[in-house]
Amino acid sequence: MKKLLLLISIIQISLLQGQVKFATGPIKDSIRFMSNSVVRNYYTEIEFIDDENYVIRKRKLVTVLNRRGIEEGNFVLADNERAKFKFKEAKTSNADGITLRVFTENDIYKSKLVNISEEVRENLNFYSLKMNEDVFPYNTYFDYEMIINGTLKIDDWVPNPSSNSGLENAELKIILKPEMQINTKINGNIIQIENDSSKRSKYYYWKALPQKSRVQEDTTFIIPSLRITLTKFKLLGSTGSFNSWQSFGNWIVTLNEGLYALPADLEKMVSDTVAKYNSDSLIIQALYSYIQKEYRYVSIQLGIGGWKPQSNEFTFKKGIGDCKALSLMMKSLLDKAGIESYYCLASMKREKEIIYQDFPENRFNHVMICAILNGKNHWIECTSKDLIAGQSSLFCKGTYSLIVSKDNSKLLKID
Amino acid sequence: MFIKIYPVLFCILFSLNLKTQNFEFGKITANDFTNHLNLADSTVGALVLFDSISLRIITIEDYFFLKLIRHKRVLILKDEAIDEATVVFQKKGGDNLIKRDLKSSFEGYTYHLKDGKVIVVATIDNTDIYNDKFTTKVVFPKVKKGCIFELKSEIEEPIFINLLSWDFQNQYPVVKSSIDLLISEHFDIATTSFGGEPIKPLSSLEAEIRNIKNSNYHLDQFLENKPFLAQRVYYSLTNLPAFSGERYLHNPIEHKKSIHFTVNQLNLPSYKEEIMGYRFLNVKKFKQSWEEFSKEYLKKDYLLNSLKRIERLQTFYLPKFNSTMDDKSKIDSIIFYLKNKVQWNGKEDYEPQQSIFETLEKGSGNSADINILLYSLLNAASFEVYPVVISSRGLGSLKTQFADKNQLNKIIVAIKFGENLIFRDATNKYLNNALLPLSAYNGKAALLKEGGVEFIDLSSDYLKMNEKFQHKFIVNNNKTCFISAIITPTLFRSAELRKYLDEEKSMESVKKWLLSRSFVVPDSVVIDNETSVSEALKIRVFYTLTMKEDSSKLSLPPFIWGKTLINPFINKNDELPAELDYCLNQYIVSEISFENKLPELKLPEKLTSNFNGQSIIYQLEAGIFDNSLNIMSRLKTNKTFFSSTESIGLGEYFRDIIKKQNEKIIIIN
Repeated sequence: MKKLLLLISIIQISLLQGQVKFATGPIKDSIRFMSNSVVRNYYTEIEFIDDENYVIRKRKLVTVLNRRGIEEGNFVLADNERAKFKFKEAKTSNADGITLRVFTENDIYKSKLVNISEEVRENLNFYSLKMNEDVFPYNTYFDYEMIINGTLKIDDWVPNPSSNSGLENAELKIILKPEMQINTKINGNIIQIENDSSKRSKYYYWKALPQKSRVQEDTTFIIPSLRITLTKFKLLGSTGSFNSWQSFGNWIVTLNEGLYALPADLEKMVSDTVAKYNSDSLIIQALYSYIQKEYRYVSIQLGIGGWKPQSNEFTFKKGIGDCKALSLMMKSLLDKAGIESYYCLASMKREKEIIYQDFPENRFNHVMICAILNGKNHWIECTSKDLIAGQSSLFCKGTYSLIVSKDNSKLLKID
Repeated sequence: MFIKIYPVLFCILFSLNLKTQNFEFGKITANDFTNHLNLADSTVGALVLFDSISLRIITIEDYFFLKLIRHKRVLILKDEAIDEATVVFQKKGGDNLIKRDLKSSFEGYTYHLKDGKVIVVATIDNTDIYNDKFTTKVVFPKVKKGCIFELKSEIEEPIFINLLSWDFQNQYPVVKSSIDLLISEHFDIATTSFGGEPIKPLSSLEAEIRNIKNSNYHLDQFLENKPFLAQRVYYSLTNLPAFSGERYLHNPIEHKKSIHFTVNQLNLPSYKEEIMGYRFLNVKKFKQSWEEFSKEYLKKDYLLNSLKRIERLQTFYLPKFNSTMDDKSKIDSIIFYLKNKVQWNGKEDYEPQQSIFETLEKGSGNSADINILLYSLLNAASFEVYPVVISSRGLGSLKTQFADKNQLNKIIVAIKFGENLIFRDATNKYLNNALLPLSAYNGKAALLKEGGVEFIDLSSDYLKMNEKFQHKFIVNNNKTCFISAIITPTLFRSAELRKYLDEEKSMESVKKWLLSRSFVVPDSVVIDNETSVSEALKIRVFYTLTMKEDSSKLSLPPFIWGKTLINPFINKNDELPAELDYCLNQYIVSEISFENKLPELKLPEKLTSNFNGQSIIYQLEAGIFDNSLNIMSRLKTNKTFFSSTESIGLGEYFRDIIKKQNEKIIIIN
């Protein structure tokens, strides 16, 4: 027991000082087995400066065991326009720890990933540094930080997402101002070590347990990760809360306020439609057909980091809109027709983002409409020109959606 | 070649206001919505009515820039093509050189046809133009099926060595596509065209510019008002079918009708400034001729020094030959020596990064380090050798008009062997010595020698990248099926497997290789005894399939080798055992690909005469319809895809395949 306490004390001291020793040594056979590379030590620090800005600092040491592990030893990073990358150090060493090469910022290949399809939604800055050596095994080490604006979505901490790669040690430290709160959710073998505080800051620590190499085909393995939300977030000056799904829904309600007004031509069109058809089902289909025929879906994310829709007036004038704009117009048309409907945040399945009911956060990347027809949910996908009303798109089927309603937002599975 | 006309005419020629070109295509009429439809087959989503570009070189604050004026008009025929109406321009930077921002302006309209009349339903304004850090997007309003959108853009861009690349052909058919290029004599431009027969200008006029200040040329500060010559070239092609790459083409981009202009050289008498980071006086050469390149390469230190060190190489490094060895054995022994002594670091280059002795001491290097060493050792062994520079597959076929260093990424060695040349590479130790890496087989390569260059053909027509496959099926008591198979990978496949086995000689390695080849992973594997790279490698694989308890039949998966379906019962007299279901539906591939260049077969006489002067595209599609595997062929005539001399009898080839595959394979669910 004494030994255990001593060990914990050593870890704490090491973490509190923010210093991680990157000494190399023999890798345990159990971790080396089937590995092409091993993450020897991975230290991450997230410091929240205020509700809107934070800094991520990362230091990572990887041992590359053979040719197939080369990619894991290289440095690759893609960040968006709201992040500023700052290089600190990068080097390689041989099995004896003797430095082979030291890299400078000039060695980093910088390029741009541009929003050319709906798959890539942001303009990304792309950084990569090839650190491969000719003789195996060798070690790569890099140290960098990113200053990020906007706390709506904080990247998960995933110490080792790769297959055929072992993990020896990974630690995370989060630094907060005393008045700030975070929520976290652990997946897989991660443990919270300790909390600590000073007059100026609060500190939280996590550690990933050593991880054996896994094969890519092993779908039963839970990749260790930690989800993090700042309870009170801020994006481009707009403040919201992740205290509950209701509070997050209220942020969306606030963003959409004042945007539901319809141009007079559209109000008349809705009145004519309601007069023409005698059932809600037919009215919904007629209004949906109108959207499909007259408007073009374009993937252009504007307004509060891509979360605030353009006005109906603009959509009507231009005949174009993204998922938010087209859904907003559809809801406005249904409101005018007197049919109950909701603006719904959704998540496309291909993003593999699981949403947990007990962990309010923003994992959404799409907007749909849920109309209530004869007491049943009637999903409407406004970006499609082929579907019929009530038919949800395949890429969202079976996933959770956040039904947005003032003080009453809730999660619901799309069927 | 160029027509010389009198200065008065040139003044007219060059004083044409650039804006007048915007109206070259006239106003949109109702006919534009309907009359061109016969050009598009019913499957296309859009028709490009015209797409034109005019290029001018301008100067801003002593720097050269391009001014590109584009005019495009597109008819949307289907919803699937509606995204064409979001036009994306990549920002190329360069404005850090000058005080003002580079200019761009856009004019655009969306037209609908209503009651036989053309109506402008939208005019683009600033709210339709989305700028971010890297792109400018023009999003056309009110676009839907049956409309026409039209864009006129004027953009200033920095000049790169690759001045302009223009695709006449694209995803959708094009009625008319044109380029109008005005270049002064100070720019020496190389023109390369792809997609069959060379694209020739419709008109090419050379003119003397006297009134420089009014010439739209903005070169007065460099020319001290001296007259100069300029050339205006106009290209135009009409009725171009849609282009789609085919899997059997190594460099599909080269089969698309396109033209590329690159700057060879800039020659301005009094120009002394920095352009694109180059400081030069009077003349700046951007591109080299092959003769110049060859001369320069053969004088490089790494080649000359290696030739000076023959004695050292012979004494310390050259393998000892015994008296019974013929020339071929000597060459092989040098290659074996190198393949074992020096490890390739996976990097390709045509220039070494270290001396031959550093490579020998370090025991590793890039492809040029290794092959220059091979060149030196062969030379030390008294063979007549030449360096051969290559553009690997994917980088496009070697440009023979000039040496484009950006395209070169590899060097191999040519050895004079009797009257012939043989080619060798020592990078891949798993590959048979007689083979070059697959990526090196990319058409033409340049053999460098004193006094010039010789272009040699490195095609891989004869190289079949495959495996031999023999199998045996035994059904036991109607309950289990035992399958044993012998797989003999050949050529490059053999090298792949040897690499896996070299890392770890185990059943797992073979299974991983089988997985990489999309093969059904067997229950067990036996690897034949160690064989040298010159011998065939054999593996034996075994499967046991057991009948499900609730089923009266066994389910037998077909073997998929790469993306090619291997029906175990084709070409066999054995009848399908009644106990087996052949479950194609579980493993069917959606497409059949041809990894090798198609064999050269003559196009049938009848077809050739029917499409005189044109080439023909056959499209092959495979899919499951009505519970059976159907393979369909489709023929498209195309003036540009292959020139008549390059036709390679695709029809015969596909017909042969169709004949073999067209048997209906019943799928039992």
